[in-house]
Formats: sequence, C-alpha cells, structure tokens
Amino acid sequence: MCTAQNFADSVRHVALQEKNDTAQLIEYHRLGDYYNTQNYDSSEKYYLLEIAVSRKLRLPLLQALAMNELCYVQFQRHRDPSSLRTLLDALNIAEDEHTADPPLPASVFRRLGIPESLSRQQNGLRNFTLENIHTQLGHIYNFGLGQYGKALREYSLSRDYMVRIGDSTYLYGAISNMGEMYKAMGNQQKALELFMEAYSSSLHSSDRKWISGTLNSIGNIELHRKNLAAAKSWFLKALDISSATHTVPNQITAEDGLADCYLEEGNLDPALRYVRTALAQANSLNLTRSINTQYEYLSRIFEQKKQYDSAYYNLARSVKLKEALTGEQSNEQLQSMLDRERQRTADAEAAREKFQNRVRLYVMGGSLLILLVVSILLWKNNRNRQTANRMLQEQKQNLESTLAQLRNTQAQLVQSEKMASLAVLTAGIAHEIQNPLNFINNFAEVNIELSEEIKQELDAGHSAAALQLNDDIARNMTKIAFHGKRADSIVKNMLQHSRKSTGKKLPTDINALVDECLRLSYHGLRARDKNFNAIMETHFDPKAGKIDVVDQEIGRVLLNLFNNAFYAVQQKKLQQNGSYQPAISVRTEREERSVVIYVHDNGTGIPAKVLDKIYQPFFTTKPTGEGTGLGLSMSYDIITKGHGGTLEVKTEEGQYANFRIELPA
Amino acid sequence: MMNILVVDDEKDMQLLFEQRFRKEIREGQLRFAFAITGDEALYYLNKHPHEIVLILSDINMPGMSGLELLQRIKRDFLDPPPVVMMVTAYGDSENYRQAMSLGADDFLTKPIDFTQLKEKLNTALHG
Repeated sequence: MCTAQNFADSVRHVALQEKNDTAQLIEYHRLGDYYNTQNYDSSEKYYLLEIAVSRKLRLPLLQALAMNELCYVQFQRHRDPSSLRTLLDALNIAEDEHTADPPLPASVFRRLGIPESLSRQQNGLRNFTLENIHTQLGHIYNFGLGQYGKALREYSLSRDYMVRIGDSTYLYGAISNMGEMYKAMGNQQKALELFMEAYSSSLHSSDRKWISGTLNSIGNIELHRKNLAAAKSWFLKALDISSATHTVPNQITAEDGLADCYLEEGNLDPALRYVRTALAQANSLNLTRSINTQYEYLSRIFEQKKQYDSAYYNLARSVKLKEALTGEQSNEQLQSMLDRERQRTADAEAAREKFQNRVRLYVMGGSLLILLVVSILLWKNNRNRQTANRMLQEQKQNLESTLAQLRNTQAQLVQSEKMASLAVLTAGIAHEIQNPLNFINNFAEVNIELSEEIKQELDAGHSAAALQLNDDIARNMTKIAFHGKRADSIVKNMLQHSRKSTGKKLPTDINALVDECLRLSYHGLRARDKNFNAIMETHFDPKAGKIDVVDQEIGRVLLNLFNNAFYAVQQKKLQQNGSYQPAISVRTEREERSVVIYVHDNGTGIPAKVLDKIYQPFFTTKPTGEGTGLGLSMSYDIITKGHGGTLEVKTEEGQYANFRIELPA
Repeated sequence: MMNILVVDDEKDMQLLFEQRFRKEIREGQLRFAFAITGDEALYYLNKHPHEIVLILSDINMPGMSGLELLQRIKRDFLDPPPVVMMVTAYGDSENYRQAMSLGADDFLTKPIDFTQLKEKLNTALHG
C-alpha cells in the first residue's frame, strides 16, 4: 500500500532529480494538494514554494491559483479572516489584464488539475482562476462573515465564469450555492427555483456527487411547506446518490429529512429506522454534532411513543454530548477536533480528489456535510464564533431545563406509585390492628373482673382458687403483651414501607413476609372496594426459612404482585359475575439454592401481545388514573438487579396469571 | 344448653371467649366450639348435626371467607337453621349490607364489645 510518507518521498525524489523548474512547480502543487486535508503546515509550505517558483517563472495566474489554495489552508489552520488578504491579492493579480501567462503545454495543465481545453481558449486560464477565486470569496463571505448578499454575488460571478469557459461539470454547484444564499436570506421560492435549475444542470454532469446536498435542500423546503410526498421523494433521491457516492454526511441529512417527514405524519416506526441508521453512520465517522442530532431525534420519537424512559435516556446522552462540545472552547482544542474530524471523514478523500482536479465546490445542501461543518467552524471570525457560542449556551440551557423537568416528572411518578401503594397499605393496616386491639382490650377487661374475683376468693379464704385466678391473670397479661407487640410491629412495618429503603439485606422469614403482605394487600383492597372478595389459598413450605433480602423492597414487590392479582380477578368478576369465584393462591417452595414464591390468580390474564411490555416503566393496561404503570417495572428491578433473582410469568388471556419469583438463598 | 360455634382464624379467640363467658360456661348455659377455618367449621357442623344453634364467624379468613361460609350454612344446614352472626374488623356499611343480604342474622365489629354480644345472644337464643 502506498503510504503518505512513501508517496511524498517519491514525489520529492522526483522533484529533486528534475532540475526543470516547471516540474518542480508541479510537484510542489501536488504535494500542497496532497497535504491540504491532513497536514496544514506541510501543505502551506509547499504552496508557498509553488508561489515562489511561479513568481520566479513569471506565471502570475498560476501564482494566483496557488495563492487561492494557500488562503484556504491558512483558514483551515488559523481561522483568521485576515487571510482574506491573500485572496484579494490573488484577485488583483488575476484581474490585472496587463499580466498574462505565456502559453503552457496542455500536459502542464493536466498535471495541475486544470481542464486541458482551457490551454487552447483565450483567457481560459484567467477565467478559470477567476472562477475559483470568486468561489472561494463566496465561501469566505458565506461561512466566515455571514454576509450572504456578498456571497451570492461572488457565487454568481463564479457561475458566469464557468459558463464562459464552458466548464459545466460543477456548474450545478455554483447554482446550488446561489440557491443556498437565497435560502439563507429568507427567499425560499427563489432558492427552490435555483435548486431545481441546479438539479437539471447536474443531470449532464460527469461528477454528480455533490448534488445530493442540493436535493436535501429541496427536500427541506418541501418539508417546510408540508408537501410530505414531494419532500420524501427528494430525500430518497438524495439518499440514492449519497449512498452510491459514499457521501455519508449527506446520507445522514437525507435520513434525518425522511425521519422528519414520517414524524410529521405521525408514523413513528419508519422515522425510528432512519434515525437509527443515521446514528450508526454518524458513530462510524465520529461526527459528534451529527450524533447529537440523532439523539435529539430519538428522544422526540420515544416521547411520542410514550416510551419516556428511552426518551429521557437519549435526551440525557444528547445533553452530555452538547456539554462535551461546548466545553471545547479553546482554539487548540477546536483545531485538533477539526483535524481529527477531517481526517476521519470519507469526505477528506473526496475533497482531496477535488483539489487535485482544481475545482472546489462546497455545496451546502443545507446538510451537515462534514466539510460544511468544518468550514463553518473554520471560516467564522471571532464575532461569529461568539454568536455561535451564545446560541449553543442557550440551547444547552434549554436542554438542561427540559432534562430537569423530565427528571422531576419521573420522580413525581415514582413517588405517586409509592403513595398509591402506601394508601393500600394504610387501609390494610388499620384493619390489621383491630385484631390485636380486640385482644388487648378484652383481655384487660377480663383481668379487671378476675382481680375482683381474686379479692372475693381471698375474702372467702379460698386461696387455691385465688392462686388459680392469678395464673389466669398472668396468662392474659402475656396475651396482652403479645398482641401489643404485634400491633407495634404492624405500625413499624407501615412506617418502614413509607421510608426509604436502607438497602441492607438481612435474614428474613419469607413465609411470614409473604403472609403479611398478602393480608395487607387483601385488607387494603377490601377497605377501598367493599364489594370485593376472593378466596385466598396459601401453601407455605416450612423449609423456606430465612433468606437475606431487603424486606421493605421484597415486601413492595409482593404487594405489587398481590395488588395486580386482586385487580385482575376483580376485573374478571366485573365482566362475568355469575358463578365466577375470584381466587388467589400463593405458594412458597424451598429449592436447593433458592426460595421460590408463586402468585397465581384466576383473573383476566395477560394478552400475549403485551407480554413483552409488562416490565417496561409506565406500561399499564389500567385506565388513566388507576395505575402509574411503575409497579412491575420497579418490582422487576428490585428482584433482578437488587437481589440477583428472577421474575417470570406464565399466563393465559382470560384465564389466569402465575408469577414466579426466585430469590437466591 | 346452647351450643355455639365460633369461627375465627385468630387462635386466641378461644381463650378470650372461654374467659369472657366463664360464668355462663360454668353454669352450663352455654357451650362453645371453635374452628379456625370455614372448612373446619363445616366439618364440625356435619359431624355434630342439629347441635349448633348459633354461629359467630369472622369474615376475613384465609381460604373460605366468612361470607361464603354464611351462604353455605344458610343453604345446607336447615334442621335447625342456626343463627349466624358475623364478627369482623370491617365495620363498614357495604360489608354490612352484603352480609345481611346473604342472610346474616346480625353483624358485629371488632374489637368485640362482649356486653353487647351477650345482649344479642340473649335475644337470639331466648327470644
């Protein structure tokens, strides 16, 4: 393989061997072209040498062409608009009719990348030089200074020269650049006319590569006018050409354009497909700004699909990227970033070809053409960079506040899910406490009576009877104390459920936990729906024993599953009534290395088509307001991520659902 | 001698009743049997036909609920049909309505007021 070093070496070798100055000039030119996408210092050096030789040989037009190239490279490196001076000097030379080049052989033209036919044309070289200088000036006014009116004039002059010399290969480029200027100045109609003209012109061109940018621009105008069918067709044309010519940034723009069309129609899946393709391409070339744009698209699409978790995730990635981008403010960082991007893009190769053909056309298809991006960054002066920074800052702030809102909403939803389950808990607990209270109050009252009886027996001298009664009192006191503690633990449990989990895994009696949560859930639901009733069956494996879990969290999972089970049977009852008997059954089993809990209900079951969604956050089949859709998602996370267990379900729509929790012991 | 069946999943109910009714038990007026599930209650009723004249049953029990037990008793045990009173922590009107519509003869809430219970028993058993 011919490496840059080998090539450079061999060229240098040739140049040194041939004492012929012209040959030397040509070699300097080719070296300058070779390096102008990779190594600005080397490139500048060779162009300067080329300028020196052309001055020595009294070839002012070639000198002017070389100065044009030099100007470009100097901008690449320093982004200093004072390099404009070089270009204006070149313009003066080229326009000076007192100076002219002596006729050069066609072979020299060819080796310098100038169309050979121009060697036979009157003023051919001059016109060619002026064409190139005016294009470059257009770029400076456009990208560097944002003076679109002046840029338009330059591009227009460039077009005139192209017509004059009969060079129609890149005529479409000049016309398209003019169109972009009208678009930038707000005249969409005129822009569209010129783009269409550029398109027709491109049909006769031998190098149509850059028309894809124009096609994207047309697509965007039609999209803006809501002519979606037309927009799609233009973007597809752009996609065809850019794919065939490997102009990846234009491909990405076309894909984004198509995604926009589908989004307008509300057709989310094709939009998603295109954006994913674009993201993969942007990633492969490390086009950071483009990657960021794709994340923003993804976030919007997922938001519309109501997959808020994914929307939030992509928005977060976009914000992170934007931060990384705006962080690189210093010149050196910007430059090295630009260098890396240039080096990595396929367009570097294309640009090199173009330079060697001595025609440079940066067609702004309104696209994120990497050259365009790089050029915009390169050609802006300080004032414009500050504007860009300010805009980015604003954007960043907007994104940050959106992100904060999203985070807030998520926290509220999680909180309301907790509150909902807390409400269920509270109702269940109120009733749970009535039972121990029953014993506390009544055994206490019994003891009051018994102590009276003791006194009577003692008065009557029946000490044996009195002692017996005393035993009864003592035993009742034990019961009182026992049920008092029971009430206490019920309340403590309720408080624990509402508190943040400590996250510590402690040995917990699984059967007891399951039983308690089942009762809580059942009573809680009964408290809210008086009509509700269900058979509950429990089969606890006595070998289940204790395992290390965070009991609040597993309790929450169990409550969630029980609540869901009760809801399902309740729904079925509403549908069927009659002889349908709601039934929930809970089973624990000790296995070799784990404990398994089964929660079975004979309710409405889960339809097959939503089965893969049930663990997704915010997914719920309950009507609005009846469930946040976070229960199973949180449960799934607690079991799998928190405890390294598994959560599965077997179900048949309309018949039953059987959830299986396995927890490592 | 009146035989009363108490159905409640709380095991301490037996100790409580035997103490709160110790006078009546000692005097041979009442005799209590206890079951901790609806199934056990039905089993007892089948094994001791015609004996039980009154049943006190909790509503919220694992397995068969008190209301289902109520239905079955009212359907299957007609000779003589025992009085069935529900004793429950859920003292709300909807529970009450449902129990009454299924044929319950009375409805009490926990914590149990034994004075009130004794009055109701008197009325039910002695007219």
